[in-house]
Amino acid sequence: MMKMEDATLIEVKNLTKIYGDHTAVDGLSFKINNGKIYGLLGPNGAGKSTTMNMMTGCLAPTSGSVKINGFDMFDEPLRAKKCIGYLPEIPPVYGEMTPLEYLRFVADAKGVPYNRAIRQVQEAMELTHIEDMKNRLIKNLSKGYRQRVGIAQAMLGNPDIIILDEPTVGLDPKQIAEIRELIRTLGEIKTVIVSSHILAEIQELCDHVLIISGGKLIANAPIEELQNRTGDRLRLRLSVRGDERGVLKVLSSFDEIEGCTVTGSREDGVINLTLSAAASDDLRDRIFFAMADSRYAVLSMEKEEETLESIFLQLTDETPTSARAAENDRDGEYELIDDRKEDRR
Amino acid sequence: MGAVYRKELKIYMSGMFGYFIIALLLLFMGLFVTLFNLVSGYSDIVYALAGMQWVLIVLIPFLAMRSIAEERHSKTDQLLYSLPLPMRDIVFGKFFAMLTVFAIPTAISTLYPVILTSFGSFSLATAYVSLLGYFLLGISMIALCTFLSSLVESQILAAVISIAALLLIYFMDMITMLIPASALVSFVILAVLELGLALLLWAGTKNANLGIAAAVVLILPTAILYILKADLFVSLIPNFLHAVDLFARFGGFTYGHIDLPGALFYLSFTAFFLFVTVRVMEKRRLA
Repeated sequence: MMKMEDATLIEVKNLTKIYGDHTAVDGLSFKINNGKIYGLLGPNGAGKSTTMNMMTGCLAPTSGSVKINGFDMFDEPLRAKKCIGYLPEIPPVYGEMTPLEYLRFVADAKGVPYNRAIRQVQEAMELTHIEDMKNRLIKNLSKGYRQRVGIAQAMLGNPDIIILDEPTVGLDPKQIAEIRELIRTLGEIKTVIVSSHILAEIQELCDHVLIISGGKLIANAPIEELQNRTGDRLRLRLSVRGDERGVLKVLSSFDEIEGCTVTGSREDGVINLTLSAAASDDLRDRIFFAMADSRYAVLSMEKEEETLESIFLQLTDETPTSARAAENDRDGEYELIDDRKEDRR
Repeated sequence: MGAVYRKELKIYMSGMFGYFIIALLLLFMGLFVTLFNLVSGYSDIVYALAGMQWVLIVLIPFLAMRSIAEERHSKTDQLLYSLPLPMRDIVFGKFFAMLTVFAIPTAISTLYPVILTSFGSFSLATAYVSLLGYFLLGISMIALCTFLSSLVESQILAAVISIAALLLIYFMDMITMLIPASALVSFVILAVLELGLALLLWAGTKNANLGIAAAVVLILPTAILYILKADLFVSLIPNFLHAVDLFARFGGFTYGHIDLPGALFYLSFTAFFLFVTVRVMEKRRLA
C-alpha cells in the first residue's frame, strides 16, 4: 500500500467525555496524519482508553467530534469504522472459537468478500505469527497469542489506521519485545496509534507523541522535538550537609538557577535538592566550590539526563510528591527492562 | 447480519451447548408425546405442547442468557461496537441464531403428528397450527430473554431474571384475578407506576426538578381523566396484563385455524423486545 505523507486521517475536535461529575476527557483536539506511528502517552486514568474508545465509535462523546478520512464517526459510523482497525485494552476474542474462525468472522463482519477474506486472514496470521495456533481454541491460548489474534483482527479489511490500546500490558518481557517488533512492522505499512503508560515503549516505537494527563492534551509533537525541547536545560540533583536556609542562600548567588526544590531529607542535617538552570555550561564545579567555601559538604551531585521521561513527569505533574510516586513507577519500568536483559541471556 | 448470525451459530454448535438444548427439547417433546398421545391416547398434540411450555420457561433463558451479557462480560462487545455493523444487525444476527437452534427441534417435532396419524384419527391441521403457535411463543420468549440478557453482565443473573420474568408471565392470569376490576384500583396502580417512573427518572438523572415535573406531567392527566371518565379505568390493569400474557395467546392456536391476531401479537412482542435491545445497546455506548 502506498503511503501518502501528511494527509490528515483523523481529526479530533474538542472531544469531551463526562461521567456524572467526573470529566474523563476534556476538550481534546488533534490531528493524525498518514504514515506514522503515533504514541498516546499518559499515566493510568489519564483518559487514554476513553479517547481511543471514542475515536473508534465504541463510546459516544459528551461533546466534540471525530472525523476519520473525512467521515464523521457519529454521523456516518459505518464508513468511518471501515477505515479503522481497533484492538481494545482487553483483546475482544471469543474463547470458544479458533483464531481462524474468529478472523474469518471479523473479515466477514467488516464486509470483506469471501476470496479476499481468505487471503487477508492468511496474511494477517503470517504477520502476527499465529499460524501454528490457528486451529486451537482461543481460550487455550496464552495472553500474548490472544493479543496477536487481536492485532490480526484489527488488520483485517485493510484499514488505513490501526489503533492499539495498551498492546503490551500484561505480557511477559519476551512477548513485549515481540509485540513491539510487530507494531514496528505494521507501522511500515499503516498509520498506527499506540497508547501506553510506559515511556520507554513510546520512545522506542513512535515517531510522534501525544501526551494526555487528566483528560487534557498537554503535548503533541514529534518525538525528537520533545526530546530537544528542554535539551538546553540543566537539571541537577544534589544532597548537601547543612541547614536549608544557608544552602539556599549560597545557591541564590547563581543567576542561572531558575528553579530549586527541596525534596526533603533522609538523614539529619542533610537536605536533598533539585535544581534546574537555563545554563548550557556545566554549573557543577562552581556549585561545588561555592558550597565548599561556605563549609557545606556536597555529599552527592548528579546531572539528570533530560529524557522523555523527565519531560513527561514535568508535564504531567509538577508537585514533588506525585513526582516521587511517578518515580517509583519508573523504577518498575526499569525492572522490566532488566528482566528482559536477563531473559536474553 | 449474516456475519454475526454465522458466528453465533458457530459458537452454539461448536461446543455442547446448542446440542444440549436441542437434545433436551427433543427429549421432553418425545416424553410428552409418548405420555399424552401414545399412553393416554389423547388425539391432540396440544397437551404435549402445554407441557413443553414449562420446558421452554427453563431452557429458553439458558439459550439466551449469554447472547448479550457474555459479550459485555468478556469485553467482546467492544469489537462489535467498533465493527462497521449497525446495532440492528448485531441483535438480529444473534436472535436468528437462537431462533435456528430452537427451530431445529421444533422442525423435528413436526414429524410426530404424521406418525400419530397411523395410530388413529388425528387432526393434522390442529397439530400443525398448534406447533406454529408453540414456535411463535418460543421466539417471543427468546426476544424477551435477549432483552433481559442485555441488561446485565452476568449470564447466570440473566438466566435467573429471565426465568423469573417468564414465570411471572405464566402466572399472569392468576395475578390478574387478584386485581379487582374497579376503576379506582386501576387508577391507583397506574398512578403508583407513574410515580415509580418519575422516581426512576429522578434517580437516573439526579435532577429532582425533572423527577417532580415528570410526576406531575404523568399523574395529573391520569387523574383528570379518572375524574372525567372513570369508566375508562374499569378493569384497565387486568385487561392490560391479560393482553400481554404470552401463554394465554397460545390458546388461540389450538383450534385448528391460524389465530391471526395471536400471530401478530407474538411477532410484535418479538419485534418490540428486539428493538428495545438495540436501543439498550446503543444507549450503553452513550453511557
